[in-house]
Amino acid sequence: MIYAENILLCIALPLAISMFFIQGELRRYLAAFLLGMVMCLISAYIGGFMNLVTGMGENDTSVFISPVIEELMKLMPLFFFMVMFAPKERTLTMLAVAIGSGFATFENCCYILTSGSENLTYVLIRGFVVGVMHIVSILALSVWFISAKRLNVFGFPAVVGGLSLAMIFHALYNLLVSEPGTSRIIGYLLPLLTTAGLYYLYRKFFRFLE
Amino acid sequence: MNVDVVLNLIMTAVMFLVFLGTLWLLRTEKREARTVLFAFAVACMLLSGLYWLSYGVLRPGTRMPFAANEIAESAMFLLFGAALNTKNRDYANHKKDIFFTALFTLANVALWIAWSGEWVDDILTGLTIGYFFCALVVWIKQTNSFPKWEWRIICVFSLVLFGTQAAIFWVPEWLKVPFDYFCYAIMMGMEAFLMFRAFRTLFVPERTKFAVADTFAAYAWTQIALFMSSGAFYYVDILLFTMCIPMMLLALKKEATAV
Repeated sequence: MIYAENILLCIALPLAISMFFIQGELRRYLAAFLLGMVMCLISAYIGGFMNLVTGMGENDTSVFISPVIEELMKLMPLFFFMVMFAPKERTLTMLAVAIGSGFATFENCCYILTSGSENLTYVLIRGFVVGVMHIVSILALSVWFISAKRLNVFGFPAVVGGLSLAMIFHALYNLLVSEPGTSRIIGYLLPLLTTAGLYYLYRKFFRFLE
Repeated sequence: MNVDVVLNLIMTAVMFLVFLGTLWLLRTEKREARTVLFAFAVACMLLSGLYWLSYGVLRPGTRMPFAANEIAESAMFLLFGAALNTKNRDYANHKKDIFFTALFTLANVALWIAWSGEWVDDILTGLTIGYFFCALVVWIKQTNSFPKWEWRIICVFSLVLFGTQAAIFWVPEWLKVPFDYFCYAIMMGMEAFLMFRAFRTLFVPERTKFAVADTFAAYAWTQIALFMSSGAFYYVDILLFTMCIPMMLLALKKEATAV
């Protein structure tokens, strides 16, 4: 067992202090990064609660329930920023990346503290794949929100549609890596290949916006 | 490999091709909101299909608990509905149609609950599919794609189908099987009729403006039939359902090129 709140405080406090000495976009990025970490902690609490309530077991909860909770929790601050502050399109994608990075960083910290950090290959896979997956899913969501607004279709169906895509992508990854063998390798490759495709689209998207 | 996995594999492969086709359509034609929403709906379907496929291969013979694919399926209905709504203008003139569509959805949901007992799941799916059905009916009425007599026949057959399905819960045991086959006959007959209409629409240039309504109607009925079928009928429905999706893309392409 680890004390996730204590770990969060330990990592977040220096970052929070540094926010007093920086300004502008960087400060916003850091705030969203911290928020991503907090959302990760709340997701873990809800996941643990669901595990107890449903009695599914830790593994099944992480495969079936966690993707839904985690993507929903990541969406919340992004949606809040978007609705309350109506940020510029580039700022919104930057905030999405920050929330995803914060979420992935805290999740990785807790995972490594639980499972150990001796195996470099495992640490690298964890760092790359999980980091990429959390960032890509929320970045894609933010890009979709921007496109939906531009096309005048931003509404409940568009939000739920985008969110469900992020959820199912995350759930597919979790399901594939839950079993050893070929499926796990495919699972690890899934976010990396998606990132390559999305990176190409992302560059085109901003050229299209300009 | 069992039949479920093979059919899912075929369906997922078709979805992947349709998704690529939709991206191609977005690249080559005017970037319409309807096509973008359709692309997202197909992406939901594709990932949901991949999820089912992975689950079927990794954990065969086990019942899937609540998972993200159910949310993706509901989102797919919302996105199809939103895609149709991008051009639906006169909701106010179709209040009666919307009311009866809502009743039709309610009848569906009641039957699903009676069969499965999964209240929350069925109500949530019912809400999203109801939104899609309402958007579809308004679009059908707006484009006048179904003549009055055809629309009446569809309504009568739907009533008979739901009446018979409901009666199966109360009739004596020996009548259940004939009633069941009667329902399948109605469902399959309607599917054949709507698929034929959709095919015809895609190949007759004068019917271009009806293409979206006809193909989406065929898809909607196939989806209803899929929820009501089991065994060999279910497999036939999956194949018909798989055929509907490329037809919907072709209809959108026809609409985009006509504009």
